[in-house]
Amino acid sequence: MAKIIIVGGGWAGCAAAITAKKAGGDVYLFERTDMLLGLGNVGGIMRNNGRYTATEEATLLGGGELFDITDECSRHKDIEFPGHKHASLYDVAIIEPQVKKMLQSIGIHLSLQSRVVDVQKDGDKLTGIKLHNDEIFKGDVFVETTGSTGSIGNCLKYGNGCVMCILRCPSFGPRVSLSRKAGVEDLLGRRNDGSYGAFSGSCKLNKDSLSKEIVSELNKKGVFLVPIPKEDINLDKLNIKVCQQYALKAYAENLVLLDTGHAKLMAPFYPLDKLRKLKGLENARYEDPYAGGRGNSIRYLSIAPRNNGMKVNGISNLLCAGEKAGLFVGHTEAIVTGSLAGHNSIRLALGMPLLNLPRNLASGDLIAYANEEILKKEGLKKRFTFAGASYFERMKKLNLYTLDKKTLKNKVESLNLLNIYSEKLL
Amino acid sequence: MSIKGNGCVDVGSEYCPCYLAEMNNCITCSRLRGEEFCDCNWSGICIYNEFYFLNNRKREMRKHQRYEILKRENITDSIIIFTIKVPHILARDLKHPGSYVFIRNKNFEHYFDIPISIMEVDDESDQIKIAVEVHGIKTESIKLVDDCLLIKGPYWNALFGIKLMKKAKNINCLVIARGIAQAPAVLATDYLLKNNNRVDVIVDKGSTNTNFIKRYTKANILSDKLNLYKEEGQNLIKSSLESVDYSLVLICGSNALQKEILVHVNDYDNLNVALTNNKEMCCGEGICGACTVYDSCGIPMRSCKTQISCITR
Repeated sequence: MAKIIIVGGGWAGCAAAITAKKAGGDVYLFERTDMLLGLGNVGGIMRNNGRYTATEEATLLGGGELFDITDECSRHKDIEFPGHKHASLYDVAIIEPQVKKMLQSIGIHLSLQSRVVDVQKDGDKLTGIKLHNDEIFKGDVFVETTGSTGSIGNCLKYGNGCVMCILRCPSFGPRVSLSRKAGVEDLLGRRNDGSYGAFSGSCKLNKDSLSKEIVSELNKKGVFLVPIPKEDINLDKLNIKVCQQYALKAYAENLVLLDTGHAKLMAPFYPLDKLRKLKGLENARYEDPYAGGRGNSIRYLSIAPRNNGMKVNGISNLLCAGEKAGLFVGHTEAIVTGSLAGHNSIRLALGMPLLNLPRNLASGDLIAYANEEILKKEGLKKRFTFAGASYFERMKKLNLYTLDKKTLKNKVESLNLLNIYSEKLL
Repeated sequence: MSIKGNGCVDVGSEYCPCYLAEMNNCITCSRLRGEEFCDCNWSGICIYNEFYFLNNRKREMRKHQRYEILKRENITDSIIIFTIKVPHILARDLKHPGSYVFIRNKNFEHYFDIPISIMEVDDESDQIKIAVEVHGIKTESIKLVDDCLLIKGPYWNALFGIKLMKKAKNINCLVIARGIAQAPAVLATDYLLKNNNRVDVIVDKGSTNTNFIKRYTKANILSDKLNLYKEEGQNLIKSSLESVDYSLVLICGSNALQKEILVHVNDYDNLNVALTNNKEMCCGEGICGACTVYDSCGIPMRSCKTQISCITR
């Protein structure tokens, strides 16, 4: 049996673990913190705009398990907020144990609080990983889904310092780029002004600290908009965030709150004194211990060059997914790329050609398009998500965006890819 | 035997970040070595972050302080044991195996600083004991001290393998110590005993003619009569390793002695090794270069601050 090692337990790593397991691998997943899902523990936005199509595609390909969980854990379904339609918001407070249970139930070996700090290599092949305690773990094929966020030094150099985000580097130690340790230089995302990295695009407020009116509206509709006083509108702030799909004028002129269990504030950060000037937010505070008044985590400083089968260039048995694999934004994008990388890990182990998703599927096109764009200087300033910005426009133009499940099923079937991720290869 | 750096002993302490950070030479932080990206293996509070919050300056460094000599014992013509009264916080900081300080006669210049291992600490009465063997210019000056010593500390890198020592609990340990290198062995043995380890000790008194281990600890002495450079001593080490399932060996002695003993230790796969750091030290801050050693790739390391792993197999 092929021993597949996945490093990083965020959405991409969990998705990769599932498809690798379903294709017949003996799967080991390493995560440096004490929870799976990484930034998925603070996100929650699913199925908005083109993500709906991508979710349905993934399910038809046979990789729907995690989307089933996000659907089940949704507090709100089919809601609208500025620039976004038919969104679901999952409850970030309940989802992680569900995912963990699911992974354990299909026999994936989980190692939490296991920080991978280095790789062992023989020529262009990885032979093992080294854990924080110097333990060596050998494997056949490796999938890196360590993301691109942090560590503290990066958040300080390119942001406003550590704000104690969910990744909790001070407690669990810094993220390590394994592809870089293997000798492959990282690509770095840029902002419009050319500087490196990007701020995470939202922060979370404690719901109990908001007015009764806001809380009741959030619970009922999932969304609440508060107009920002003219003197505090800061359009420049839109440029610094990861999520270009939310970098719309409406997000500068309004405080957009979404109900994900916490009140998700759709801004990278917002000084507390200014926040408290707004009606209903007079007593607002960030979710403990988040310093959302000061900054946010910094991302895109560690992207591995790869092919469209998700294999890292220059290393024969290393794949990647999620933010490690490109300037992707969002859970859906992480799951889609993770599922492909996991499936391909078994193909790689067997010496089979890697599966490339065809470009007449939104997921196939996103993976290939992001790879083309990242080679361009301007492309390093773009973000790729089904949910908005330039890529959603492209989806619409290429007729890849649809809510019609039947059409999609016919398409996937005609491509001979129906349930391909459920096929046992080994 | 090849060696590799295993982190800075001062990282995360109240003396971090230090001069090396200010001068773009931090042992741990890649950014404070002038590199563009984070690439460290330190999972404590980010040194770069600490440095930033200090307005890009180092922390205050250790300073010389004058401390009272409570007792002076001339064990032999060349061995003096000093009992010194120190502040409580210093006593506490010096309890760790591998602790050392710089000592100096107050009437001499700073280049008379001598690195001396801590032998015993009593942090209730706030007293420390050090053993000085007089054999050169600097130690000669110590013979002339009156009622006080200038001390700069705490420093911690007198042993390599400190993490192994700290991890050792409920295991069998063998300590092999010769001559004046028994002094760091006393502190380490005491530490191992407190953590419920079985500690057997082979002592070679060398030129000191004294069994310090017996005098200051309750460890089980296997022998203090043999010369470890001779066959009889080597045979005892060999037979001890054969007869007991040791998990940790601490070798306190010269590099030559370490080399002789490691030959036997290498026969055992699961045996961890800690060693005394025998390099000359002058500043203790990673600046002067007196303590430089080279790893297997030829990269220089300052052994006054860098923990070093010896790969013996």
